Amino acid sequence: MTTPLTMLETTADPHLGVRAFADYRGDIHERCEVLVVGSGPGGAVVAKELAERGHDVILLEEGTAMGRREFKQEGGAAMQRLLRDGGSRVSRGNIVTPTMQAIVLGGGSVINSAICARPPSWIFDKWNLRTGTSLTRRELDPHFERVETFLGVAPTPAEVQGERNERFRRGCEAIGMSVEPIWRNVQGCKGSGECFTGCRNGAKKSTDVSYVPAAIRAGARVFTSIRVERVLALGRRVTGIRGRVVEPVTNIPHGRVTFDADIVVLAAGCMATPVILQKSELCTENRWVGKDLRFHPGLAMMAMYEEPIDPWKGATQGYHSLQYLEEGLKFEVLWSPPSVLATRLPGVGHSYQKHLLSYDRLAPFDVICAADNSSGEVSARPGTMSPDIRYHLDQADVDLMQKGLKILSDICWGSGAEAILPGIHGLPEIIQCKEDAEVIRKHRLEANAMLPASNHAFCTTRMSPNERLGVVDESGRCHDLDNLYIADTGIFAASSGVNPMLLCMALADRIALGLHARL
Amino acid sequence: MSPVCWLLLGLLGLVAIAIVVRLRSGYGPPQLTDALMNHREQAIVAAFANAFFPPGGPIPMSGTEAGVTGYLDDYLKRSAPLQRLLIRLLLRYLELEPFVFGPRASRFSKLSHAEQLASLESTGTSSIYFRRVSFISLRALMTMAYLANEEVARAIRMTQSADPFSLGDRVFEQLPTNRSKEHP
Repeated sequence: MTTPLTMLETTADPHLGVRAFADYRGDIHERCEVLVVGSGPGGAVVAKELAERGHDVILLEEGTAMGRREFKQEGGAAMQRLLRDGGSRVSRGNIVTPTMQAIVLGGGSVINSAICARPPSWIFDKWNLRTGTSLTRRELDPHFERVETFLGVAPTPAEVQGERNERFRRGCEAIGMSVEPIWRNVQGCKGSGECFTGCRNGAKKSTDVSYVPAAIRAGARVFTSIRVERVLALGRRVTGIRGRVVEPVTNIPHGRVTFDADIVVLAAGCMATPVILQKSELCTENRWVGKDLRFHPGLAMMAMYEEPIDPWKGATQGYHSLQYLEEGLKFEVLWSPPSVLATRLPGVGHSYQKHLLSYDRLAPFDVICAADNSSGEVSARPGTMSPDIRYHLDQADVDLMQKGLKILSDICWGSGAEAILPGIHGLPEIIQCKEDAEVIRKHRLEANAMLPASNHAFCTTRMSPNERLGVVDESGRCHDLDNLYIADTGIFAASSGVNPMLLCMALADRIALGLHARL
Repeated sequence: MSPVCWLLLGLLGLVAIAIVVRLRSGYGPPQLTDALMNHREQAIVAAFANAFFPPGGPIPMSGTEAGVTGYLDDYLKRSAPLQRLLIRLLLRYLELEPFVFGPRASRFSKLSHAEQLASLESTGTSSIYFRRVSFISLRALMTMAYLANEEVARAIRMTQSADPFSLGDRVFEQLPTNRSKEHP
């Protein structure tokens, strides 16, 4: 039985006991039973569950712990402090797509909008078809339950939705689409819309304020500002890791670190984990390391209203529609730092300034696509731990996203918009009526007409019971090594359909319990 | 090699030097002290800032008045070396782009305001993907810098409150209004 986080636990200093850059003097050499690399949704869950079952756990994180008073709302400063490559990380291929990975204690859970969605059961049928996994939704339900109970996952309350979210709901209802409040790992949301820059209210139960403190209470040791560069191995067994202490924000390397362990769990994220494996020259015979990268490319459309709606007021993402999920499309309300979203507004000079003045009448809605036909790969760059990310967006997925854009425009008109801003090259900058929006359906869109964001990433160390089809087996263990596990979104066998955090946490919970049973 | 070849090589060398000198001159003194960007980069950023956000417009504050140059310098200081290099290359590329794509063969910062707008429009709507991505990248930097100014944020009624529902229905009603409802 999982105990929910208590108010006392959530209000006390959540980072008490976390070792930071300022604590280190010279080189570090430690030993433990289980070493977990990465404190995001995967690693933090594994660390807590194993520490609570009496195992000697060390959790490593390359970023630093950020207290709620340290979060900056200004877009540029926030991205530089919280995101890898200062938020400028992109994939290359037939499109340039920004992809954001966090570098902070708590990983992606600090900068996402806290969406907790269980994938429907047919997602696991698709996984089975791709790599032969036997996982089912029913088998994972107890793990979803445990994570949701601990984090207090609940629907976004009506009182913090705000007009931006309500317009989306009304738009969906007006055209007969299903729409529901998004379930989130948030307690006491005040509707500040600041999920992407870190929650100043401490309402979001990101892993740095939930699972990590619980792991520390259970005896886990947590080290931040530690960059893992190599996993050390002897034959089929890993013996620990080697890396560097890195200075916060600048990432300048300092002292050397060595951590010896009986078990290593990599949860550094879908981009970093394959790079660590490649740099370590591990699993070299496995053709799937770093391959089969999958994204959920997302496109936003702005609805413009006659009257102000104060888009900055309300939960970051309060409603979504799952009606077209089986076709590979998910529709959501969107929000991010206003200065980042404003980049989508058209015009230059005075015309751009005029659009900025209409900002309080704008609401961004977005569609994310399962993109089952598109894939890419992640590889290690020489001399750095930064990944080289390549991705090809297939025309079939472009066509699907185009269908999504048309539905999105219908939602906008249904919500009472007086104009929409599609933000697609080759389409009008502003469309003033529903009839004119037919151009979205009729125009032949190609991949490079769009600039999608791709922040859901997975499959780079995919799961399969067959070592020829995947990197890890269904317990999360690498096929090629006896005691190396992976517990991040890289192990997904295909798209999660919905936002990946909850599935990643449920899989990590399952991996941790399985590991405990074997130890 | 014949003397004619030497002469031609010498002339080519002189032309190259003249082009480099011309491209590097005429930027004026630096606006910022203790800056990472040199005076040329500062002038380039100022030109882009005032092209995107000209003075006397719907939002009266211009890009340079809003502190875009200083913001970008701080941003570069905080950036990792590779990102810093890429941003600098982006600025230099867009500064020189009019030589290839017009509206006339000149540095962007030397164009008239109308020509600068034409140059940016051409880059942003180009059929060449790389040009559009360059434009979006520049606009993202400029917009982040411009909206970081509190007066600009007030002008567009942008509030960033940790508890916005406690502020009442329209938190900006007491703020100065100058918004236009007409579509650009």
